[in-house]
Amino acid sequence: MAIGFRYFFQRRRESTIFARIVPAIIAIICLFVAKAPMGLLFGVVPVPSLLMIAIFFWAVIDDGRLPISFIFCLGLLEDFLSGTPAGLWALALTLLHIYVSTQGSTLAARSFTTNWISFSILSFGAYLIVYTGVSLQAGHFPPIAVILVPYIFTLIIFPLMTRFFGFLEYRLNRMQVSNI
Amino acid sequence: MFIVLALSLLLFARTGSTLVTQMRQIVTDVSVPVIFILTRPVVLVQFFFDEAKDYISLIGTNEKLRGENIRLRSQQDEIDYLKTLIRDYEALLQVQPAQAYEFATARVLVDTGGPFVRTIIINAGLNSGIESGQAVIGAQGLIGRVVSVGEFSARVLLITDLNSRIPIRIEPEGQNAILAGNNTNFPQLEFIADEIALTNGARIVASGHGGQIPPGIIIGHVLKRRNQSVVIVPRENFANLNFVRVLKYKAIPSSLLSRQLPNVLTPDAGDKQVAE
Repeated sequence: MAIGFRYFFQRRRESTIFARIVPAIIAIICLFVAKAPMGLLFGVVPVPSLLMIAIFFWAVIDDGRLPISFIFCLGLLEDFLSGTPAGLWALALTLLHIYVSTQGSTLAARSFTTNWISFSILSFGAYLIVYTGVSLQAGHFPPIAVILVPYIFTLIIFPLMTRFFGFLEYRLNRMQVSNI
Repeated sequence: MFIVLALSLLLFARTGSTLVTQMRQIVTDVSVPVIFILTRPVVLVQFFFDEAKDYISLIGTNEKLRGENIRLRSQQDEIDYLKTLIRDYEALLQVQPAQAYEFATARVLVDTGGPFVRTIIINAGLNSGIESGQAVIGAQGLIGRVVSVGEFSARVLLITDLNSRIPIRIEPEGQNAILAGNNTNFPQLEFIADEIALTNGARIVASGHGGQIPPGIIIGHVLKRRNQSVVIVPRENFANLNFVRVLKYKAIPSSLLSRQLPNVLTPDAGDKQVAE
């Protein structure tokens, strides 16, 4: 990546309302787009969790952009829409956000590959929390493959999505600078 | 604080409170129009992708359909003869005809088909006379049943979901079993009396037990895997659900149900006992 996590972390400024609104809207769109009635994306791959990528990205570069209260509400919205037990996605995404934001400065200083690996571990943890919660509620565990396929696809699409979020963040930074 | 809040919510939902279900349905009712608008471009791209795929396979599909058409025409006479025969036998035996039912057609607005829960949201709710528990069919067979209903939308639990249990009959053996979803595309059979007797390709239809799903609705066929595990290949292609039909079926009309209650269960009987 030409412009990585480190670049945005070093150039972060106090989040203005506008700088908070854009990531929030993007996060909501990520959540809603995954609900398109397609079953499988283009009949081939399961829909990845774009929301987790967005939360990870903004938690690393500036956790003020997507505050924890907003992440909790997003998780709850995901629970309500997807039909998982209320509070389960909220718990998984809040934990993801808390962990990444506490390690934000460390992760931002690392290479993109390190961030990718970190995301792969943390997102698997989040998936596992939801998988366990849903299975406990149902009384039995489905094959682990049901989470592996979307998880792997989420990892594959991670570089592309972070590049897109990076582009948005770059534009936001430019706008803030020109306002000053 | 938010972690405690999430855990409290989880525990609260476990109590089976209707408050969570109501909140879920209100949020769904409000979100569905927004999701519908936001996902249109994605759905359109998907539509063109499917169209292109169909166009590429046009000649092959045409050839296949011609063959199928010839085969079906040859079977038509036999079907007509069997229909007449069944009608005559039913008249002779004075069989109670199956309850007629209406249906409501609805569009699939949201597919929450994530790895954890297999549900869809349709654009028909209480305003269209939809009730919880009603069976939902696609173009080719049963896809699930309604689990919650809002004013303008309803959530359908697909037969592939982990929480789905459908009483079924295996044809032609006539065995009854339960179709259990497992969050994969191939639900499993449970409580089969004789698993060995099952043959590959045996038809799976709704048994009608429980009175919510009309008997005889096709669901799929049996697939015996190399490791001898038995799964079902659903007839419906869940990746391409656009329109569905909700069957407003009642095995026994509600007017009859109230009349058939045993005396001890009627409110009057209870009052009489107290008086005595």
